[in-house]
Amino acid sequence: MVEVYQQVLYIKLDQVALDFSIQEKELSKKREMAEENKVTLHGLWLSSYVKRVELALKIKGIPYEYVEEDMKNKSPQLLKYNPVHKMVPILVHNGKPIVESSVILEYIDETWKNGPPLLPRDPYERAQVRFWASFVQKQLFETMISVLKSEGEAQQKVIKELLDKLKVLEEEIKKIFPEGIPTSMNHETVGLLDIMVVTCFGPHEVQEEVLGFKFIDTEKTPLLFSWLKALNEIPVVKEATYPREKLVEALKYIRQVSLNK
Amino acid sequence: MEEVTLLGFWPSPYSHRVIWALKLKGVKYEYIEEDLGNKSDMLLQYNPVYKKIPVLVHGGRPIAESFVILQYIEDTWPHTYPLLPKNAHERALARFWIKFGEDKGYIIFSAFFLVSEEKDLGDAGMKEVLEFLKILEEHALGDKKFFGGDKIGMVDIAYGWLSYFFKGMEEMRGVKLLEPSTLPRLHAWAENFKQVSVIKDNLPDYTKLLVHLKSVREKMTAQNPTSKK
Repeated sequence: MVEVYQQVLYIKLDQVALDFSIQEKELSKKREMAEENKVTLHGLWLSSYVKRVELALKIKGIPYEYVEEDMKNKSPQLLKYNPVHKMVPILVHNGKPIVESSVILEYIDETWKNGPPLLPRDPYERAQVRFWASFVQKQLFETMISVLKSEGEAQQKVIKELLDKLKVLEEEIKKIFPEGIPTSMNHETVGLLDIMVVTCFGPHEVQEEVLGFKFIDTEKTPLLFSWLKALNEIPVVKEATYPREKLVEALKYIRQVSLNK
Repeated sequence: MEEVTLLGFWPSPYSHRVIWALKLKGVKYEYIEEDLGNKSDMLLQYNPVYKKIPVLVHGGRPIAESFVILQYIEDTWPHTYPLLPKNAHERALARFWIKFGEDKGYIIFSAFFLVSEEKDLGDAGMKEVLEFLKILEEHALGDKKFFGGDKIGMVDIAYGWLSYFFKGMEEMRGVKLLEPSTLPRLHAWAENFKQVSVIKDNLPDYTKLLVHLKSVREKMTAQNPTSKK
């Protein structure tokens, strides 16, 4: 009788041990899955490229961990994840890195299909978004940086370029918003081009303060001005606004360093 | 089937990229040769922002910028010959390498077309070009036959100019950078790429190309006589 009782006891103990080991395996699987689905963004507070990725993640409602990098003291992770450029932003998903903000934005859109779409479905419209996103980056943003980094005659030349190119975008906005700019926008209806425009020129008033002239206003570029105003009011965008004084200081510093060269 | 037209220029690698993509996808199209010294009204109408080729016109709607066009082709004809990998991370890697080439384009252009006579690798520009090629070989290509793996894809198309156009640039400057001794894997890739039938049948005449490159360089150096980066 005791033997039978003992056997039953051992079987019960084995069962407990088995249950426990199954639980452990499930927990470890859950931990693995959490790790796998983990999203980390390596960035710099000043970088508008990083801001693009942040906005995309927020718009899609993707939880992520943010790691601020120090460019003067790059982390071993940064060097491991982006050996070619050693720059931010870097998005790490499922332990794998994706670099280059434009590449990251497309990756986010393709991978998280549940949130609002960043790119339209129609191939022709997608092409238009990609074309204008590239225009905003290369023709507008990079020209503005040239204005920041130059002086005298050279600066006058790039200022003219910037103003001419802003006119081109202003014309295109009439097609993008044929019924005019909505007075209020929300994060569910903004996409990649909105992200590009607001991260490049959202802080235009600060940029204008540092540069000493206005390039986006109700006279010269009324549509762009209204678009930026509406975008800047969206809560996720507002939250990500640069602290004004910090940005002024940073832009002045960049200009100084460049002119001293 | 809506009509597809390509406005191109015979020596331009940007133009060739689109041709290769359309041919790989089996898309029928009409080709229109543009005279860049005398741009057609059609070109100016279809690409008012940059006034450049290539421009793809599909069903009367224009798409400009070669990589925007390539992605459009991939999005529009997804069922034949995929140009990008299925896996999202691999696709991101492909896009990364395409952008890498796009961004470094200016360095290479300057080194070959703008800087005055300095043939050896001591020239900083040429050094940068060699470094660029080494990064491609080591990180983008690795031990694969093509950037796209076993078959050519959008990254191969993006760097296709290295297999023929670059040779003309090297000959024009009297330098040898992409050699089996310096870049064995990349060199092998270039040879394999040119053998792919769609590519082989759609390359410009090399002799004509060389003449063209020399005239471009003359024009550029005349405009920038003391230019040196």
